[in-house]
Amino acid sequence: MEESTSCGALERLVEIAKLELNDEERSVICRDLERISRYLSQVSAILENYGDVPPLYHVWEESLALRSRERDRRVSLSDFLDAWKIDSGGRVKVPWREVGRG
Amino acid sequence: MRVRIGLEIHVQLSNAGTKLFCDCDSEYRGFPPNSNVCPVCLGLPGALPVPGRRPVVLALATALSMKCKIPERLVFTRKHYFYPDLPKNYQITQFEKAGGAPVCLEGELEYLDTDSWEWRSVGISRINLEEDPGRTYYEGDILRSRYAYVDYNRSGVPLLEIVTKPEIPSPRQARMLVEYLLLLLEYIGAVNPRLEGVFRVDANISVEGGERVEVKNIGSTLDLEKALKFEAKRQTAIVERGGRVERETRHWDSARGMTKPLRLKEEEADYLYFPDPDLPPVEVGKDLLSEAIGILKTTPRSLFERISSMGIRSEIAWSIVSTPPASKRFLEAEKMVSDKRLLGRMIGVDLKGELKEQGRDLHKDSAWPPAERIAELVKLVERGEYTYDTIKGLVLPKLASNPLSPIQPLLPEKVDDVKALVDEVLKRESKAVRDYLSGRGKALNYLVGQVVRAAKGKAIDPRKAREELLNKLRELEARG
Amino acid sequence: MMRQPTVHELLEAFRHGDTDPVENAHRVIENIARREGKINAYISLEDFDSVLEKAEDSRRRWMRGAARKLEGIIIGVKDNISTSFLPTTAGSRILDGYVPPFDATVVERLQKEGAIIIGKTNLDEFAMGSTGEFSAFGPTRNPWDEERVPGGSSSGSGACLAYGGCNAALGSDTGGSVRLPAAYTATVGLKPTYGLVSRYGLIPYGNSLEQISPMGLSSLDVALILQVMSGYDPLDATSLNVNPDVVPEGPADPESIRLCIPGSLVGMSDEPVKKSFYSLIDRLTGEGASVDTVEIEGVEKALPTYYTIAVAEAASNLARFEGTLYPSRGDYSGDYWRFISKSRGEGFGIEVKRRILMGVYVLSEGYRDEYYLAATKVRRIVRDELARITKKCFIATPASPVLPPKLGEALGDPLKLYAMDAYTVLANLSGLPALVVPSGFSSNLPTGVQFIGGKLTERSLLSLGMLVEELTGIRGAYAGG
Ligand SMILES: [Zn+2]
Repeated sequence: MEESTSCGALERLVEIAKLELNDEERSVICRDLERISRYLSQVSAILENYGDVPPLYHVWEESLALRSRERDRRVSLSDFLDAWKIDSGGRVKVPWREVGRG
Repeated sequence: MRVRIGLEIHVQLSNAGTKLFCDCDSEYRGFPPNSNVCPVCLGLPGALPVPGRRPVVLALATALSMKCKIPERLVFTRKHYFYPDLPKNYQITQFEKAGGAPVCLEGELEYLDTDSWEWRSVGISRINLEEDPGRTYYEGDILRSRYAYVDYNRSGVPLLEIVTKPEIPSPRQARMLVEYLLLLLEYIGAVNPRLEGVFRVDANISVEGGERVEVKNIGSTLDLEKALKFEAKRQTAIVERGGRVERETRHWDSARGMTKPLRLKEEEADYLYFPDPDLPPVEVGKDLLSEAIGILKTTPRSLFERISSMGIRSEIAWSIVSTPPASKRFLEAEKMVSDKRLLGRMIGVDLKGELKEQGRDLHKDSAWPPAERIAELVKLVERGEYTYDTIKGLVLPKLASNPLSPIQPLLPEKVDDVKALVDEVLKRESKAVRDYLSGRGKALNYLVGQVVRAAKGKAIDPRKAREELLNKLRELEARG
Repeated sequence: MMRQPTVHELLEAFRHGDTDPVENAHRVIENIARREGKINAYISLEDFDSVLEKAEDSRRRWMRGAARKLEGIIIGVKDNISTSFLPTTAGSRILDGYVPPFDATVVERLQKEGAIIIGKTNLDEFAMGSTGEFSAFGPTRNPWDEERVPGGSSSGSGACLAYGGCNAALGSDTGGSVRLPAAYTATVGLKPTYGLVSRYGLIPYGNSLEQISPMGLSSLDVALILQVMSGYDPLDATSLNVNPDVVPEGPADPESIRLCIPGSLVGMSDEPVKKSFYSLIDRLTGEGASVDTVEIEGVEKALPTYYTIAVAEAASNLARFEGTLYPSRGDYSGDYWRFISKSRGEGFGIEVKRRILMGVYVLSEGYRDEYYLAATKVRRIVRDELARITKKCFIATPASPVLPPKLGEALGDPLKLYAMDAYTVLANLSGLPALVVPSGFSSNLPTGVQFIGGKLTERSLLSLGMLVEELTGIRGAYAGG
């Protein structure tokens, strides 16, 4: 775990999370990650006192009611998205590749 | 050299009616870009997924048809990766190794080998029910496009990911398997296999002594066979040269007919799987299962066996089964006629051929005449009122171009006086008559042909013509 | 103590014609005009003319006897609850300018019963925080002491109530986010049973833990709001198929009350908090309530368990924010993956980043079992234990182990900040309802008491709250200033 919470590990987390950090944030979070992960690791320690406990993902463990047709909730992108992000054909324009102009 | 192939088949449940987690349309084709979207399938924060009943039932029916182990509860998981077409940047799927429970674990898909007419089977590792991402367009080359242009109409469409074990013995078998699978899904009302992009296949293939190679982006069954043949050949050549086949992912270039290494090196991904907290498990109760069993009443296999049991040749039986409107007609008409083989031939060979000839869409129900009309034609032949050849040659073309027409007006006029025609021909064909009388029996066939021709499109039974000819010829012979 | 009218009192007064919704709206607007500049309880406000117009509509409805359940009541809605008529930022720069194309189910339900939504209240960014200081729109100050925080993350909801900038408010509670502000502002906050209130439209932080939660100036007010907003919603698959009556007939009979106090857990509180807590417990026993001390198994690990699950879910939920389907600033071009990293880097604040990265950590291959999976198992232990205990009694704790900190005081150390949630997270892990009501004041700073009840015991919890209000006399507390 020590190795994982070093700032080297932070780089991998940043890469997975797609999250750019500035230098100040990097040093703060680097320090905190190690402390917090140590803090959170207490959780698995306590399990040693118990037998096999199944995980609990949904607190009431109820089963869900499947949907039959509800109501049409269709929306138009222009209801919430800046017009300049929608191309003339109605598609959403997303930056994709670094290419020189012209 | 021995080849082993495994498939990962993604099929949209295009006929589910709604998307997997919202009420937008499952058949997104034909909508203007981004007009088949709502807060749920756009992944807007706060909008919550609720699985639709129909997609779940269809997925269960698929699993049942493959004799799967179906869990008591289905659990959806989140799979995270960033991509413009994935609005939440995670896909809701059913990964079993992180608390998920897919709709099928361990099953078996039986399919018909249409070369040998034998049933074969391949193991199914699992089937996931998951959401399809949106569609991305690029300006020209994906690698040089400045922007990605995203249409979310497809986002959230229910998708089955069917994973076979790597035990398919040849590219051709792989193709037949997928063809059968698509037909099966069409029969349970889940998929229209002819829609563009409705299924995609990733295949892994290895030859003896080599690593497994993944081939992505295969969009048709024809391409699947081609891509795998290409790959088998390529890998065999490497092994025979004494080289090593490395583990890699390749891309099928359909236009050039070859597989190519993926230029973008895939990142070593960490998908951060965990069960979706917004989606409690779906209990697979009696009501869901019986609904799924209900839509499994007819499978291509059950139908094929039933039709074959009527003494119909496999080729013809399969021709009927592989075209659902044809099998629908057959099953209805079959109750009205006694000569099933005749019916099979009419539907599976000649009517189908005629429709095809005329460029009709064989899979469109309205392209086909009603079953009663087809049965009527069969009965005409059964009763000896018309010959099969007359119906085939003179009636089916008209019926194919006008499937709703009543039969009566389509029937050719019958020659009412065969004797007159025979007399006319005998008078004209004195050489053939002489030949016949001098012992060359073959001349009779010629004469029959001439009589049929003289009918000028009117229906005439060649047997009757022959009978009449023989009578007359005997008279002539007697007269000397 | 200065008082202001509660929702219940307002509705009675509207009915009898002692006052009317327009007068009420004027009073609320005046309070906002006077205090908002300093307190910063709202991120966005409805146009006041339109508020007054709606109030006038309500006035007429009262006149002609067509008033609905919350006719003319003015409500502040936490800015992580989607509204199609006001921006919804979740306190984040990354959503600055986002106006959702749909309304949260609770917003629809409140408006259908005549409530007037006056604005969107401030919060810690994406509800991640216990003080309100992590908002991208500046911290909210505590109307009782402007140098102090009002508690978070529903900081603006607590603050607007205390200074009379709304009659009632909606918050969200993932680990105590309405209960801390309630305790710090002398108001009432209830985290309902998980699934009682639809989450449709709530910008998610920790989906499996959180509920949209009512805040008010009294337990009865909270009950009246909850009655309208709760109940089955087919748009939320975790919504329970129940529609219970949650409005109590009156204060609980003290002799029927059984309390369980987790002694060692309460022992961790600061002295003034403990003092205030036990003096309230004494008064309750004096009235005939019975009290037991209990030890709750696994309870000391509840906080790290809670945080592990919360950060995992947060990392996942916040993946969608990358600058394409939401407002974006700066250069909109370049390599996709660089672009989104930059957008996210610029759009999220430090606490959100910390939690996203921790979330990725606890879910990543090789660590998932040790962290995330282990937490889901301990969660079961905690849930079973709390469910068992709340079958026989209400669990009573202070709402927070500390008094409202000064601005900036708790910011530096995340672990210290997390510790403020030590009592509240129990209810989120276990799905159980929990109520915080004022227990008193300690050197002019409010303190709150928390009661955790069994599944769907909101009605009895709220009647217990009413009893406490009778004993403390704190109801409709007004931080005049
Ligand atoms: Zn949709």
